[in-house]
Amino acid sequence: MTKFNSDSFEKLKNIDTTGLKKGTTYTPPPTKNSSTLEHKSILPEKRSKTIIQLPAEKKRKRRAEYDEWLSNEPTEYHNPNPFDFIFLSNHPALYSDEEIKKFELVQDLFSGHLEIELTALTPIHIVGTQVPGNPGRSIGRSNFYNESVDYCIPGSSIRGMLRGFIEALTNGWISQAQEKEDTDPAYPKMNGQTNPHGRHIGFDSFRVTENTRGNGQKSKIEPGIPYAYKPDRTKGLDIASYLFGIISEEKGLSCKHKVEIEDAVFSGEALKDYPMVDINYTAFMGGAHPSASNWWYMVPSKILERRTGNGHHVVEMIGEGFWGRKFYFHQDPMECISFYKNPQRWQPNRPIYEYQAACLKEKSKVFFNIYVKRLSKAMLDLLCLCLMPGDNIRHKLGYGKQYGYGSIDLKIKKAEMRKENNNSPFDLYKEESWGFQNYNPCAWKERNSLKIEENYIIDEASLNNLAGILSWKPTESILFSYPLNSRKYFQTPIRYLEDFKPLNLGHLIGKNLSDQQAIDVARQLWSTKKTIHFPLYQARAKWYKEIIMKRKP
Amino acid sequence: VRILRSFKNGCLIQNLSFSFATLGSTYAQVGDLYHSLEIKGDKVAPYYHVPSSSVRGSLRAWTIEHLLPKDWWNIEDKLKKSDFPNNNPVYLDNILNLFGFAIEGAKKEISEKYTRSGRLTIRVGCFDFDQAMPSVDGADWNLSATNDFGPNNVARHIKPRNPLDRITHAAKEGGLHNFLEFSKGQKLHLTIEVRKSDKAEQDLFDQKLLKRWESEINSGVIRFGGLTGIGRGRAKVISRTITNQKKGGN
Repeated sequence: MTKFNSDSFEKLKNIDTTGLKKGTTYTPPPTKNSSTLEHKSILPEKRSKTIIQLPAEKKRKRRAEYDEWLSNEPTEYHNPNPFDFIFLSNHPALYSDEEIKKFELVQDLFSGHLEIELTALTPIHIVGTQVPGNPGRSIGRSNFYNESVDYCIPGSSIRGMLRGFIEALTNGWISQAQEKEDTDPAYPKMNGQTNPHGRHIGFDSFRVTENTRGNGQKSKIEPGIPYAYKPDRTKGLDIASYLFGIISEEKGLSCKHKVEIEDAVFSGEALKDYPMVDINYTAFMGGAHPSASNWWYMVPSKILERRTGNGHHVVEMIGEGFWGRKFYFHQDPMECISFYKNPQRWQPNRPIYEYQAACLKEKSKVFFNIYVKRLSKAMLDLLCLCLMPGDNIRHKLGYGKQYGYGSIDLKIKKAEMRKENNNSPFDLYKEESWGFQNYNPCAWKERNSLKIEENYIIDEASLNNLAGILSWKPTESILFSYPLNSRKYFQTPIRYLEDFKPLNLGHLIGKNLSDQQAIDVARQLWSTKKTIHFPLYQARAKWYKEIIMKRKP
Repeated sequence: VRILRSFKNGCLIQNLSFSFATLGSTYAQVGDLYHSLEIKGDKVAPYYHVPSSSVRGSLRAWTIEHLLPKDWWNIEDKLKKSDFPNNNPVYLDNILNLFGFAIEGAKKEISEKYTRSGRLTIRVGCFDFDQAMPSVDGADWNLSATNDFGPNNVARHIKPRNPLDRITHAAKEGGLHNFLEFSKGQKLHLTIEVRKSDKAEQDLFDQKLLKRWESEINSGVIRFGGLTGIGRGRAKVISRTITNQKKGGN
């Protein structure tokens, strides 16, 4: 068994989590209680050159552990944030080529096609041409995407949505992450005075980044994503790449896709205009601006003092490593837009504006085909389960997910397959062997039967986490909204002398914090600033503990 | 810009295959589709078409993957590695007879036994639609200029694509890329010519295979060109004419 999971993870061999050149040994800073238990590598011994010893504190906690710690938090008056994270483990689940080959030998392989009905649970917008707005408005109108004369939801959008879901569900690689071609970090340090989204601690997706402070002091910061999540065929194959393909720089290691997804084409009669909102001059509702100097996107690491260029003495919460993969909650877009449109929620110098976007109407049905090539039964069943993930989970697609747009229901209307075998090919003269037969995929409740050897393909922790975010229950009527742009939220600095020191937290400056210590610090600073610690903010939101924490797949 | 040279109708033609890419970027911006030049009277005229070699490649790959066991999909490699295989798969000979085969670097007896010329010729005619400029949607392209010199014998559109970062769900920086593709509904003529063999069994194989190709094209299994992963390259046989010619003819 060569699969990694979070529970068994203690020690990695030859996994360069530091971004250092291979062969260089990374020695983490000395910490108490560090643990270096043996664990076998996913790699053949011949590739194993470097041994990295990670302290026990570096073991990432999954969402369920945070929910347990935060289950007794008091409920405040804010709405939950519209997105949440599928918490990462320390290492993805990878399979060796030998395992895959063996697995394919014992399973029937299926080729054929699935006819899929897509129902818009909420309006869907795929961005086409955008008409510029009047002065003060970036967008005047957003048309639906079309190719030549047809309106369509592109196969590439559906494919990206499914691949992202499967990567999360099976704890696979992170196939798309911000990366620069050169040595610059993906999230570079920027001057906050010239850029409204100034980031004074640069960090990278997969590499360690060195920052130089104003006083010349240098510091290193861990990658946003554990290096083991960077796709690398020499280390194995994840489930999503097995299905959707991967290009490898290593000769002979690229894998061709086994799943082909066509466009969902429809006529213009199914379109209708719906409102979208945004703020001019800044991508408040569209652009993510992750920062390593708070714990909103990042796992808490430590607290540092900082004297700003304006002479302010503040503390900043240093985070290292993203919480996980972002997904958006389902909600009613009309209620959400009405909430945002209230002018009292916005500062006069940053007014909100509304524009119309052509959407595929709610309850509309469109159809598309998925073709599969030589998929083993377990993989075909996995694909079908991911299209229809039980009674509760529904996917989101297209633009405006943060407002509730793009919730969809997928149904397999018809599945026709024929069996193929790698060892005995077709008989050209036997007509019946070429025919496609109806195929019945396994039911959602049988999902635990999907295994590669003795390893479950579905990562249970991720599935529970996904159910918490992607559950579709309109009767719950939960409103999700971004934190307000006002005091006690993102715009509020934590002053060292006035806010931090009186709480007797000064001794924590510069120390590596445990997960629980970080929660405790955020609790104590709550009355000063609410948007410090992401899971704490969510746990204290309306409906979160009562409904969202209790959601099950 | 790659320049390929080939002979057509006795004239030296330059086939220009353009692939514009920004150096250092992960994604190539494809600026044009495959097209060739032909001499019409005293003028050189460009036209879009699907290369015959692409069609042939798709049909050959499908045939090998469906009629040979997986360990024979790389036929050349398999023959080179075998001493002198005597347990050849059932249809190996038929496939080599139809498509032809050449092997380099193998033992002499292997090379002599398996090298042969093919009997299959594929010709793809040019599109006969007329659209001067590609349809554009979803991209920041503003095509208002006229197309005085480029080919215009097919409807085409520009398709944008932008992967989303899995962590932030934001568009991946530098990931926005566009490609040009032939639009749905374009028609072309495909001529598949099979020279009669001297074995009835081989001729029967050829006929069965041609019929199977048509069925597999119509059901979406055989596709042409790139990006089949996002549903591209689907074709349908609208009408078919079979012409038998006497042996000795072409």
